[in-house]
Amino acid sequence: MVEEIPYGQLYDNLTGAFVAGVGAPDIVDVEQGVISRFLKGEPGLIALNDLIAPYEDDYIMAKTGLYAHQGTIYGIDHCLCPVVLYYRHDIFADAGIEMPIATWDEFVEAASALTEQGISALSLSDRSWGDFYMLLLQSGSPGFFDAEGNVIVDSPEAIAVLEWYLGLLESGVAIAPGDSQSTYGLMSEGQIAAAIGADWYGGFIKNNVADTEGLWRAAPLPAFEEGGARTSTHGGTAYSITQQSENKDEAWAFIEFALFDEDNKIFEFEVNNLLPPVLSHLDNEALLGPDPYFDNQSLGELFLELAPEVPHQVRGPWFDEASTLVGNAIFQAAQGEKTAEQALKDAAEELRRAIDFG
Amino acid sequence: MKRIITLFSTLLLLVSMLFGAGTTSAQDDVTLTIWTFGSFFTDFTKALKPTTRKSRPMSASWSKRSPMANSTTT
Repeated sequence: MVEEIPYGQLYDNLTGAFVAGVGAPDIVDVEQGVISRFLKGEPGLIALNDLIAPYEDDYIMAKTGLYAHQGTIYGIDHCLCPVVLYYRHDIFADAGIEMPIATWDEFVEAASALTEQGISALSLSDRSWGDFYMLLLQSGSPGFFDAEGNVIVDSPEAIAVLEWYLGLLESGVAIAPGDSQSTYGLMSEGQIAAAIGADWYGGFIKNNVADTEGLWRAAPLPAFEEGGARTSTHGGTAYSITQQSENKDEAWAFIEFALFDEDNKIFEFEVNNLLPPVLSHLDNEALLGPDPYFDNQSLGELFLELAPEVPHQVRGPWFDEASTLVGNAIFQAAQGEKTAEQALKDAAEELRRAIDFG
Repeated sequence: MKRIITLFSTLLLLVSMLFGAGTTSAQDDVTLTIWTFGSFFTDFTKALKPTTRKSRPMSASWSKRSPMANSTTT
């Protein structure tokens, strides 16, 4: 019995069921943005390590980091969510910029040909954590926590990435439109020439900037260093099994059927455009076809090429608080209220206090 | 009359125990409860029912992978 529940209400209901000790479903779709709240204390979800183990050579295990705490995996993601650079090939070509570009330094240098025309090469948020987090992971950091769960929001690596990120905004290479509808409007007008985003974000561009069909392509992210990672990951939703389930074996059998049967994953791609996080599915013909919106490029071939580079990350029970604090820090630094270093150090201290307080 | 009703009830209970009525067995359907959000996940998950996708060999796949071939979703 599949029950569709509005996003916010679903997790309130799940919290209530866990507190009450009754009423939880067998299986629940846990979106990556809410998993941390269910990892505090004794999780109401079961460990899936032994169940996923037979698939660890085929499943892209980097995705389990979103739903894990202290080595225990509580969710299996529907999607790979690899991050690429979506760009207007007509605008880049007119400016004499050849794509793909190997490094971010080269990208910034090339972008000056766009900024001279009043075009922003990128769209980045100046108030939320998502864009920064994608780039932080790409840089090689595990994110806001290290493998032992220590807060590393204010690590030298994170500070360096934020300083660079804010530099893109200050120089005009990137613009922060403030909300997604403004971003799509500027994309449509050709005022934003590129964006970093996951596979699903390509679908968002397609749906929201429909009038530019055929003018977009996608490329690997420029690397921070020559030979460095050319992708990141953003987003996800996992199937989890609750402790309250009286049908745990059957629940796993269903998840196995849903997520590891190639027919089903191709079907899911057709339904919701989510790329399977399973290596052996990624070369399926259905994923590799040309896409007219993206100038008949095969995005599937690009994702297949980048899949092994999807970075690992560490989240755990305090990720929700960390992401909110980092979003605030980005805003404070972008507004000039604090330096990037001070903003992240303050965020890290507040996070450490929250964790100590429990 | 009361003794007849009691005897009949006892017989019913014995028959139930012998034939497994009302108990769980490997032959029973197991209905899993799945909570999800958004039509994109709902549409996918709801479709994973052997009877809904006759053009593909879902039933065989489900039977092959599942220890409970009769498990269903709706």
